[in-house]
Amino acid sequence: MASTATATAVPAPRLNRTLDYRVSLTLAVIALIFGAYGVFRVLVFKEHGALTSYVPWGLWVGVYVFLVWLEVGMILTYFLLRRFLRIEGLRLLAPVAMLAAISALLGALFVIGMDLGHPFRFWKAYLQPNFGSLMSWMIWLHTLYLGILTAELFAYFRGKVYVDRWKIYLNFLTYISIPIGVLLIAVIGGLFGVVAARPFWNASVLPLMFFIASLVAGLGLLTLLHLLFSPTRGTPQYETTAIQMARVFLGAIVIGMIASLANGLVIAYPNVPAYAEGLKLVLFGPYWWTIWIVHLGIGVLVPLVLLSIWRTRLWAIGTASVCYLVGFTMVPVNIIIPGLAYPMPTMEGIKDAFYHSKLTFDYTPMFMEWQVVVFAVGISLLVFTVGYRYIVEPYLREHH
Amino acid sequence: MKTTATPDPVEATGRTPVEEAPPEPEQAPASCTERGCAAGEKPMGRKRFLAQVASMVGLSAVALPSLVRAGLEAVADGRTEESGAGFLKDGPEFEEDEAANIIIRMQRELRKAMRKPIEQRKWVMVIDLRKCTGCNACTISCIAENHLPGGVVYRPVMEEEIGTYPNVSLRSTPRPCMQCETAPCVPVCPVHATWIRPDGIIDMDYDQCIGCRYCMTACPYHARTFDFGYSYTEGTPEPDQPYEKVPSFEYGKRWKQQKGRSPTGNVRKCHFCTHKLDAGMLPSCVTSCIGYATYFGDANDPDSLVAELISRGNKIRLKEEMGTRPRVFYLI
Repeated sequence: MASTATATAVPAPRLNRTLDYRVSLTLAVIALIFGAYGVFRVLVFKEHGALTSYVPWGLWVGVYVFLVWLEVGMILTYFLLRRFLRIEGLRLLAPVAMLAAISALLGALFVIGMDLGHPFRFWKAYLQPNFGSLMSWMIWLHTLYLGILTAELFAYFRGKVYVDRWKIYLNFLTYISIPIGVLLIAVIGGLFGVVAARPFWNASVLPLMFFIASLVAGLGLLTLLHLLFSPTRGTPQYETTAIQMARVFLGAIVIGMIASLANGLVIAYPNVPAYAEGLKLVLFGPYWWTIWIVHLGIGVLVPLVLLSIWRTRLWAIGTASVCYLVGFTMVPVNIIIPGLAYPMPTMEGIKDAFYHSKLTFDYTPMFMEWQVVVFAVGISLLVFTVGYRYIVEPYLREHH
Repeated sequence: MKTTATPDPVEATGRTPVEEAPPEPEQAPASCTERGCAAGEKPMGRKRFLAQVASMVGLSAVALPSLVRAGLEAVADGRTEESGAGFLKDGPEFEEDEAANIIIRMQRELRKAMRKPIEQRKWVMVIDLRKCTGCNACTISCIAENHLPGGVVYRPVMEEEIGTYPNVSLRSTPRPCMQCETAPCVPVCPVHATWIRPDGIIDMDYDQCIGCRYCMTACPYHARTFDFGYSYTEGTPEPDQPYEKVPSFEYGKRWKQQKGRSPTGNVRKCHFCTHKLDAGMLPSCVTSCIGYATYFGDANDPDSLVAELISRGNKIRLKEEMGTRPRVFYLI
């Protein structure tokens, strides 16, 4: 689904052509088939990949956090760009953004469900919750968020958006989705931040960092969605909007970088082992390339260059957003795993106290873990493709 | 109190004093070996040996009927070990000279504590690091008692080399669950699957646990392990041996190791052998310690051994700066 700006005057919603739809659907099905065996192994053989008792969270939790950043960040940035920067060209992108958010959210819920030791006991979190735990808050807020987005999309689907009564209802949902989204991100940041046992996570700034990360990642995805699916394609407004978004995107990347640098320096400067060990693992550990090459190289440097030099070129904006999203996948993984991958101070002896492959601080995701992730991506892609075809496209065709 | 005396290897199973302390035969002089004795010492002759054997047999013959009778009466009254509460109420008292044996002393104190309401007990474990030899007997006995599968360990022994050659030493630190008073693992559980009992032990409900492992990240002692459903014989020609399928009795229930069913897929941790405590027995790690380095008891009882030990100045707790207030103390 490459973005090719055409000079036609008539808006042409993306995926209304059978070829695009089929390609997207085929990709989703391939992803589902590729990942099916991994899911089978989790559900039937009860395997948990390379996770150990000392590194109990890994790739799946990282991908979950990434998808939540995307889903919430996209809705938040959409709201901010529309309300405060008055970017009118995004008006028609609302149902696309909502559908993309729901798709990401379902993928996130799937991948975190696979991470549970007893996935079919998930209902206990709803019926017997402990609201003293941030994880309960996360689950409830997530569900609430899913409900709000689904209700909004349903309203679009029913074409009731222009009926006054429904407009009030929709406005209410939109406004309520903003604080809930902010709260959800803060809660997920807090979920890690409150763990005093893990000094690398245990910082009051972590919820704020998650919030910034969510906004930047969401903005990257929103820019990409605009380039690929905006109903204003082919109009001058389409290009203007893209350039406006690129400018904001560039600023957001710079702010994100400054925030990360400040946080990193605060950890690195005192060089207290309990805190600095995690940072050292991120920067110089066995997976140093994920931060230096994937995140900082592809995810930050390339977009910065592209958006600084070719800021008005659509191909550059598109490439920058794709690079940023690809590079950003490594960020939550590089927060979660290094925080767990070393023994706590005074407990160093635990490393060699008892030998078993599941009692180690070494963690490298197994192939089946990647399969589960691909399956989750397949779910998201399938939901988005089908949703676009049968919900968004009829809406756009009817009203615009 | 003789904490350094080498006591008789008495199992804490409520045997009668007569059984616990059979009359010991006269010992040969310490200087005698299999090859002979040191000059000036008389070796044990055949007559003397036979006389001692005969006296032992005679004593046993006298003691045996009374032992059997006591046992039968106990069974008839429902005061067997398995009956737990009944045994605690009316169990035989140890004689005063047996108090020298710390295991027996702790056993008696345990039963005394079990007669109190649960909220009046405060279980505490004290580990004397000066006595710990790092033999891992406690680790193994814990695994055997709780039928722990591969990859699950409640009480590993951490080893730490201190100093540089030639001034080096080795410190072994057993690490059970600290049963913290302000346990960070408890409030993070999203489904109330873990909580602090009134007597201070951190309990778990395997059937409630969803396996999210948040509690594992929250524990500063790495004391929680996840049951991935491994078996010790996995990958061998004959996997899943029958002994691996024997259920454990943690938390007073039968837990069979079976994929997809609790406790597989759950977080697991040391619980001070609550199922044994309920039956009036000491935790496995305490009774199996070859160096008598682990003590257990009710800190609310001022006369208890553990209360005495933790009142000393040489006690420490792991990561005390975190304020978790562990109920496991170390003597250094």
